[in-house]
Amino acid sequence: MRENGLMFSSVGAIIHATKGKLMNRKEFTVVASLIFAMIFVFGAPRQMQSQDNKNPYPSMAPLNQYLMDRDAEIALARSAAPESISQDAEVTVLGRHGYETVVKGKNGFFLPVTFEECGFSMASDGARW
Amino acid sequence: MNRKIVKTIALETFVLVVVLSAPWQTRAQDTKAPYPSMAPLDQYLMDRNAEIALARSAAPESISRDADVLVLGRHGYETAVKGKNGFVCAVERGWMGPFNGADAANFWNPKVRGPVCYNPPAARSILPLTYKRTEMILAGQSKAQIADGIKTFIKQELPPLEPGAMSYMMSKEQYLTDDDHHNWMAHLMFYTPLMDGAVWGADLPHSPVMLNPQFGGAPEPIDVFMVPAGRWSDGTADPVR
Repeated sequence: MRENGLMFSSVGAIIHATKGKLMNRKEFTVVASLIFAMIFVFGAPRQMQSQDNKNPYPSMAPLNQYLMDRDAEIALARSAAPESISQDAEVTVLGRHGYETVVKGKNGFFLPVTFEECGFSMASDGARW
Repeated sequence: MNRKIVKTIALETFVLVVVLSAPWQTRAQDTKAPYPSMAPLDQYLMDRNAEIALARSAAPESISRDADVLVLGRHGYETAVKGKNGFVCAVERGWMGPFNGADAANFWNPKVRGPVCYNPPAARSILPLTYKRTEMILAGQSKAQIADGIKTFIKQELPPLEPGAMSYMMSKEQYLTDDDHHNWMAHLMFYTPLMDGAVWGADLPHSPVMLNPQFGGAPEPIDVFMVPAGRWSDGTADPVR
């Protein structure tokens, strides 16, 4: 609001200053450039702020932030299902180049810790990254 | 004793055994199979508006208010309300359960009311089984005839099972068993081709997934996996027991 008010009053001052005169091409170019620059300067922070509100994680963080302690990741992966299922499941952990199988299972279940939990619903809340 | 006296005593003993044991036999049979045959049709029918409301209670209002609603008439199910979201809600009767085995005890139970809302894929590929079974039941066919009829129907008319077919059974008013918890539990049902229940982790300790014995290849080649919903369609809690 405050930036917008400042911007519009500045524009008003320019218009006021030129009122009653027919602007030549050079004056017009200067005025238009000033208006454009003010819109860009004052509008940009607001745009960034509203973008951040919508998506707090707009790009990938450093890889280390997605990695976990290996044993903790195995335990977390197994906690996804009751022990009766996860005890015989294959467990994978995320490494620097992708998922690696760390426990070979025998019941056909597969337990990775996915880092995009709850898929679409959280992605719409900006939790993809 | 001469032959005539022996014959008379034997006959009287036989009659006595039969007469005295008959009530016991009947009671044992009742305990084993309280509903051995179809009750008079009226006992399966409901007031039309009550049936519509009960059918809708199978799913949250956000789903059931725009669903087709069926009611059971004397010759089969009829569409009582035309919907617009592709879901179909109906109140199923005991005969949609297994034909044989321990789980068949409620097949003819006239008190059973199973409100269910099918999603569109299930409405197209599972609901026809409800129409068919019910049609044959109301035509007075035996279980064996119905099983044969279903086999033929599956071969000739039933559309292939569609991916994503599922249904809601979240009515607090459902009556699924004569046991203490008539409404058993609010749950969702997922339909798959026949498969090993272990693939879903069904019926393993602490697994919420259960394999329903409803079809299981006898004769419908469909498995039904159930997952507790945790709440009734009106939003009240149904803690998993």
